[in-house]
Amino acid sequence: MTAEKKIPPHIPSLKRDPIPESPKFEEWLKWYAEKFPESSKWINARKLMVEKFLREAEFEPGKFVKTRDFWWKLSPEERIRFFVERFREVIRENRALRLYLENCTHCGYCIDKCQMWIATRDYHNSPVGRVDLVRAIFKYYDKLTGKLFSKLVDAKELTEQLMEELWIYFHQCTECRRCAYFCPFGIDTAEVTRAVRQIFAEMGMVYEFVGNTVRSLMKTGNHMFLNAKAIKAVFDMVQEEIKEETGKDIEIPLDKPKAKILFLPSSTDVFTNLDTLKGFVKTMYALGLQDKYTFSSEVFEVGNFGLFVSDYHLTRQGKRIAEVATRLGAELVIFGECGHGWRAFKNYVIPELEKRGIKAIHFMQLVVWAIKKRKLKLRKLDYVVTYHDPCNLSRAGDLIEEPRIILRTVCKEFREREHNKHRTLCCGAGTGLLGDDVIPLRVWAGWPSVYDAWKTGAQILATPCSIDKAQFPVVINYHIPGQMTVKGLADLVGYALEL
Amino acid sequence: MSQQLPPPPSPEFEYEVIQDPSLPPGWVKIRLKKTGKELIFDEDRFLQNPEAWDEFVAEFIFTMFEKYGERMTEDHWKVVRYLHDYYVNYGVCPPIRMLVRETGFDLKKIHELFPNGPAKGACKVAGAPKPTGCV
Amino acid sequence: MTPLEKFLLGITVPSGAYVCIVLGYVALAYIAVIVFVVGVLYRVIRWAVTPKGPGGLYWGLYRLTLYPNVHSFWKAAGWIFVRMFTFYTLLKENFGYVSGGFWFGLILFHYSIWATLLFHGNIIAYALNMYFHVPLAVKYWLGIVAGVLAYAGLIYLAIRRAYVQARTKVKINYFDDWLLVLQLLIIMGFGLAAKCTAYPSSFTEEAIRSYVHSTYSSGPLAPIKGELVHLVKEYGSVMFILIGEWFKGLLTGNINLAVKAMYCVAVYHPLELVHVFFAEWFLIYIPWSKMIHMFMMPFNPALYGKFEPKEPALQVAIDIVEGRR
Repeated sequence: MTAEKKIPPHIPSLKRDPIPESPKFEEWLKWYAEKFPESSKWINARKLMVEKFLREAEFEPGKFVKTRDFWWKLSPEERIRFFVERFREVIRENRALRLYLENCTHCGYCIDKCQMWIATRDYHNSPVGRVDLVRAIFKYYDKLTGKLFSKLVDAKELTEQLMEELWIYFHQCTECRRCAYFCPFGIDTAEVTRAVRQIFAEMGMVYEFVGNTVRSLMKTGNHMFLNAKAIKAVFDMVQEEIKEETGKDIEIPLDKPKAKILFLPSSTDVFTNLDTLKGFVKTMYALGLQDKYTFSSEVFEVGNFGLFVSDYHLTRQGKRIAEVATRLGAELVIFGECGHGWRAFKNYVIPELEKRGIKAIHFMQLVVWAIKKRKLKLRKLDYVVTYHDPCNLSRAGDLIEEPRIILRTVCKEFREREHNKHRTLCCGAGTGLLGDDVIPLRVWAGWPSVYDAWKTGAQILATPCSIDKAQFPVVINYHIPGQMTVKGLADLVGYALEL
Repeated sequence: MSQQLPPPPSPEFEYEVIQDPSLPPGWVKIRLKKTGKELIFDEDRFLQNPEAWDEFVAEFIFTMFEKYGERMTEDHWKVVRYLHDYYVNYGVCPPIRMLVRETGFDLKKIHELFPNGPAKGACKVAGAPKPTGCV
Repeated sequence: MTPLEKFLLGITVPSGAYVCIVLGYVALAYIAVIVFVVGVLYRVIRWAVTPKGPGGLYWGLYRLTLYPNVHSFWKAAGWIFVRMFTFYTLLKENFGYVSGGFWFGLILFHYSIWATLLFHGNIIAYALNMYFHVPLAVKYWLGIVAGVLAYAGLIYLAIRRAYVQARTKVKINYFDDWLLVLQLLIIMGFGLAAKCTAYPSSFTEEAIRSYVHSTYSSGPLAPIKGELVHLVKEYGSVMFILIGEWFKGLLTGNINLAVKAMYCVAVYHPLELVHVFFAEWFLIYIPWSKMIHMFMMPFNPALYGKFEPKEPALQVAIDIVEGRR
């Protein structure tokens, strides 16, 4: 039945299109017919430019927010003026950005590589189309020909409408960098996205969900407004659960002084992914590190939504981790499960820690070593499992083989997906596109990846990324309810571990 | 995104909308006629001034946004009271597993009670804010 | 000074043509090369001196990376070279589709272009008296085949441009994209046509003799017909020699020689004249347009980013687990 479903000829299609394979294909068609091409109406990424964000997300006044007023109090002309001014600064001081804006040859190869384009079939939602919005401004404000022959070279003056388009489309890029891998030149759209978002953020315009999360990150050091008391309450419950399961009373250390290892979990590990936390705790216990590691309530977070907002927030959280580790006297920082966080961690925090003489590794690297040295007693779980490479682990984090080794060890069968490793498809909710307001976009942007996993026939989709763990159940529930479950790698290690 | 709140399902829940230009777009401020309390809701109708929460407000949120026109039963109250106490104590919502453990209701039952689910339904009624982070 | 040069310097060129050639094929040629070199250097240096980003980081990150296991300069450089010379990412499958045609077109186009440029290099070598002798038939056919392949690649890529635009139902190609394609079509088309018409049909004694006698029996080169036969036997065509003399004139600053060689080209091989003229403009165009893409890859931070090795950190972990720390 599914074979007869086809994308109608007036919509651009792929050779083996994943969209018609969805049982909800009819709904997609309805959507496309009703709302396209003005996706701005149906994906209205909401703007949180709430006072709260400006107040709480900036600790050193004047360092981050360049305009003290909120966006809706700035007149459109003022916003345009600010944007152009900042943009001119930014292209002068950022090599990567300048390079990417100047060098696209418009071969169009990246268009169908973007899961956002696959979901929306909207040109501006493809890497080249998205960056072309900025490229038009770039040509107008930086190039002589752009001003003289703006029509011929597609140079545009920044207008209110263009600003609106910039806002919408640059908040629909998930910064997965799949296009950078496929592009013959390696043009990294995510860098452009991050630049544009930062300019918006400096005006106080941040996507609501991300803005609230960054507020929390700045205030509490984690994404979920958790304080030590709340973390302890959950720890107590998890400790009790472990005792019921294994009969062992394993204390979960929080803020233990003079620990040699600082363990950073994702804050959702004490909210929705309790099994992941259990996996960490059990593994550390099994490796005999029970007395040597601790969690910290000050930085109970591996994720770093600052990556999606601005360098100010990114580096601030990164430095905080380094400071806490130094104060603790830790010799090693172990990173839990998180996708985007690993990019920020690997490419900012680790070099910072190295400066202070502290080393850091990923939990999976430790587990792989333990597996190879037979330090863990693992049984084979009766699962058929497939693996989703989180974009930031495979393309920006030097972690491709480790999870595969773990899955082959702990599961009965491991099936490789079609689009894997570098070519992995984004979950569709990267950059914190996790709000309820973007659910239609999320379920379709996540479908290509879920379809890929579903095709393997695996019952479990394993992924070491908290955004994936939040996003995939929503996608699976919408398209193929009940046919697959999403698990973290540490969850599976925890299940397989015999204490 | 609907800008307007639904009309009150019964006279008891009548309210008036207060115009406040300082609010972000999509937010509403209302005054409940019965208790005179002022409430601010964001676009997803989460309560933005949690200090105004009381049991009548919980009833109001439930009947307006959760199950339109219906009243809360004892089971609902058990969940909502637990969540609210937890929120007041810890400043966040508890994990779902903890909610299940403490109230004794399984997940299916909670979804029956609150069609929007534990985080976006029950917590909303309990006056807790929208969850952030990777959820 | 060779006898040919002596003869060329003795030719009388009408003053109008002399001025035109000085403007279009001497002044413009110098300008084109200078603009090309200075322009490319300007662009490249500008990329190199632009700082990484705010705070010396890429928006807060120490590096951009695309590949795992890149721990050394050479490994990063390796990826860049592999990308530059194989275009292998085009052969990666995406939803059942491998852009094999696109890849083949690109390879065909770029490599044939490099091949033809190599043959052009032999003209400069001639001008420097370092001519690399190739059997004439080989030289003739290889040149034509490379030219035809490059042209075919170009046409394929141009059609693909239009096709991608039609398939994805958007306008991604603007005037400047088509302008480039048009310029290449003209330059390569005229160059190829000139090459095809400027050689004898075969390289036997009689063929060369009858070709030279029918083509050069009138006009400025008529007096040295007999000499030309020997030259064609050695270099393949008179056009090749004339362009070589033009280069020699330009390189040594002997403008008179350059003008007179070009005058002979204009009389006997006007197609070549068009080819050279557009090629000069194209050189000027390269640094200010998308053509700059050929210099970009080594400057792309996403390609040259590299990680620190994980082993030292893992060693610390092992030491802690095994109680040595």
